[in-house]
Amino acid sequence: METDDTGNRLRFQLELEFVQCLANPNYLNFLAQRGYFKDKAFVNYLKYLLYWKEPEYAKYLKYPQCLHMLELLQYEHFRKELVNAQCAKFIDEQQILHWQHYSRKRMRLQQALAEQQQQNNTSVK
Amino acid sequence: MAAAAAAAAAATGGGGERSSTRDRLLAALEDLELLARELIEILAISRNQKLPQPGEEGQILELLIQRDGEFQELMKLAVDQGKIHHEMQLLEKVVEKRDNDIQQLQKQLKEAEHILATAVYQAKEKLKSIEKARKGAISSEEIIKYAHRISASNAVCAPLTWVPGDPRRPYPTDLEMRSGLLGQMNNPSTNGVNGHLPGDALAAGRLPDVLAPQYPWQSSDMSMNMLPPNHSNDFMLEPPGHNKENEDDVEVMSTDSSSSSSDSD
Repeated sequence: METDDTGNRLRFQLELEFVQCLANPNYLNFLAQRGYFKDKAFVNYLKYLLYWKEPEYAKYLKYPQCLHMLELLQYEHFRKELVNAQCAKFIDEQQILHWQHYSRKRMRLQQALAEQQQQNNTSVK
Repeated sequence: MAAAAAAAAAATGGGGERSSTRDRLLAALEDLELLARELIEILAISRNQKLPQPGEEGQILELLIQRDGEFQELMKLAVDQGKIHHEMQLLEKVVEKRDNDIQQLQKQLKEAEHILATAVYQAKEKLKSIEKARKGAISSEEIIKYAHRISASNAVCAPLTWVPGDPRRPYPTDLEMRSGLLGQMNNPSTNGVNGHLPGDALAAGRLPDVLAPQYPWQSSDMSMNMLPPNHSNDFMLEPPGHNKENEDDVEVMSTDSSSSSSDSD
């Protein structure tokens, strides 16, 4: 049925958006503080969302980090910890640092290359 | 004396059927020796004086001849037995050699079996990994496209010019969340704090009533292959326009705990 398809498409999009929002540690902190993680239905929903790990679904994710957060969210201890703002802040910082990993690496490589070239130039002269 | 010698011979002879040839030979020799000695004694005595018993020498002679005959037979027997014994030894040597051969073969067989078992096991492992790889085969083009998509948008790698004041993040920010479909589902209320959707965040389970099936996503059939194999009647979507307690969420889990497992049925 056409209406079925539309509905399913909409649901797909909504779930896609929601699962990616889980990559935001501030949002997780927000959810934790509002007590959503204590709701069993919500926890079940998080478990249900694990289907995004399969390749045919994962290819639609723009922020694949959300999958890792989703996995962590399956653990009750993690959910409890997220109530603290410091926890969320720590996760945020680590995420950003990790995010910068490759650009830092590239910069280091470029610097090394530049230094090498300088050395070559000075030795040639 | 002759009687004593005969008795001794009989004793050793009848002492058991199992007396060895050697014993019998020795016994026969002893008898011969005894008889010879007696004969000589009698002859010596009869030279000096008259015989107390007249026919004794003859008896002793006969016994002597008899014993000699036995002795000869026993000697033949001994020679035969010697030959047999020699053959037995040869055969034993052959048997020993065969035994060694068998043991050697056994060792080699065991070794071969071990090697084959290892080879088979490794081959099976290899097949398993081949199968696994085949299952997860994705075209390289698709992977490259995906990699490009997540990198170009700076979703997994920071932009090269990023400095601490930059609002860009490796996760969807406030703004992005609000401008997405989720954020637009409800009437946006007051601006929230960083990181949450307008109004409250996704609520779960707060909607007590089952809504009348007026919305397409409440049907139970899953026609699209995209969605995971769950019954959609397990989830109740909150229709837009219902603003119960500022709920922003669209999906509400049914409170039935048996539903909402993500395993397919």
